[in-house]
Amino acid sequence: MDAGPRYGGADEEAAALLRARLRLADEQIGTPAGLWDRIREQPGAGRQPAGAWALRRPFAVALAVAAAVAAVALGVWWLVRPGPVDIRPAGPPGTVPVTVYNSEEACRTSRTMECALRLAKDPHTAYAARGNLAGRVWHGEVLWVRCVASDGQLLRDEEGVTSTRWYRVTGGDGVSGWLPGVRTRNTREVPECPAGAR
Amino acid sequence: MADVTPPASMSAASSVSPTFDEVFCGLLPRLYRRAVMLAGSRQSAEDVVHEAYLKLAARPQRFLAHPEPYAYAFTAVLSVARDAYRKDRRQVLVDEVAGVEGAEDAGVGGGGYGGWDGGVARRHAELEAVRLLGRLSHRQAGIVILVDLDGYTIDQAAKIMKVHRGTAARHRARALDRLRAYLVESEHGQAGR
Repeated sequence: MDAGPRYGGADEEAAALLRARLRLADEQIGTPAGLWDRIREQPGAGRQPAGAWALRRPFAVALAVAAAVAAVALGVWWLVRPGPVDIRPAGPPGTVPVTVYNSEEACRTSRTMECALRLAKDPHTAYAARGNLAGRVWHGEVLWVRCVASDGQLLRDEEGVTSTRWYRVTGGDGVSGWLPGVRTRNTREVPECPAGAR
Repeated sequence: MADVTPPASMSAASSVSPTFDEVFCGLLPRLYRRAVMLAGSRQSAEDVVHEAYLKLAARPQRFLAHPEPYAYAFTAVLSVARDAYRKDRRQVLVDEVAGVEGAEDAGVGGGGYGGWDGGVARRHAELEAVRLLGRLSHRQAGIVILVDLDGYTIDQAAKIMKVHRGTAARHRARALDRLRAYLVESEHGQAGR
């Protein structure tokens, strides 16, 4: 039979030598006695899919198990995952944190007496009145608001914001007083102070 | 009920016609010889033909309906040999065997025999074929076996291997390129490395 396309002289020589070697080996490799019986009777010769799939089956099983475990773990996590977390700092119960806000930008980093903001003793008295000083706070401090008086003295800050709201606050160092609403930028709901608390 | 009992030859395969076994059994010596050349050892070759048998037996109708069952079975043998090689790359193809090179020098190897030599020349021819094919990729080896040993044309080999004719021709040309120096040198008695 034709052995394929024609090649150059060197290829023809190589092909002829290759054919001779292969045919010599082919003539001389004998079939072992009982090979057919062994093939037909060996365990596993039960007409089951074999070969590459049989070799890959353990990997496929391991992969399927890993996928199932991952799916179960994901499902469990989905069921028991924590809900939205309120990250506000811990404080006295029933209080809302507010941060002191100084409208004067130059005073936001300076903790001097000139940059201090007053906590008043009474929200209905003039803010700067002599004796209406309960304590001092500075820009950025976190205070705890217990309630708000919405009918306090009207105040306007340096940015033009006005408010009659005053917060009943307690500082981290234990100082308590009333913080004018214009000295913070609160966005949380705060309960109204009862009349006795004013 | 006795008349529906399958014959003894179908002991493990009641759902498969005995014709499958008959056809495979008829091809077995030839397939085994190809497996020896591809797998590199007789033990591996037995495993390869066994795996190929199982593979073909999974779809016996395809094998039986194929216009050329040998070609179909050969591709199964080639595929199993390739999978086995990939599975255990640590296996090293037979290279040199002590005593065989000496036998070649003594003139009992290659094509001539001066008498019974204890099977050395027989093993030499086998190992030489293994060594040659071991230098090729499995596809190249498959094309070379089909063309240079089984006598198929490039077109037929390409069809059997399910590749384009040009691809098959290129595989064979590269195989010859790879083997040329070795073949010529060894032919002139300079194969020692």
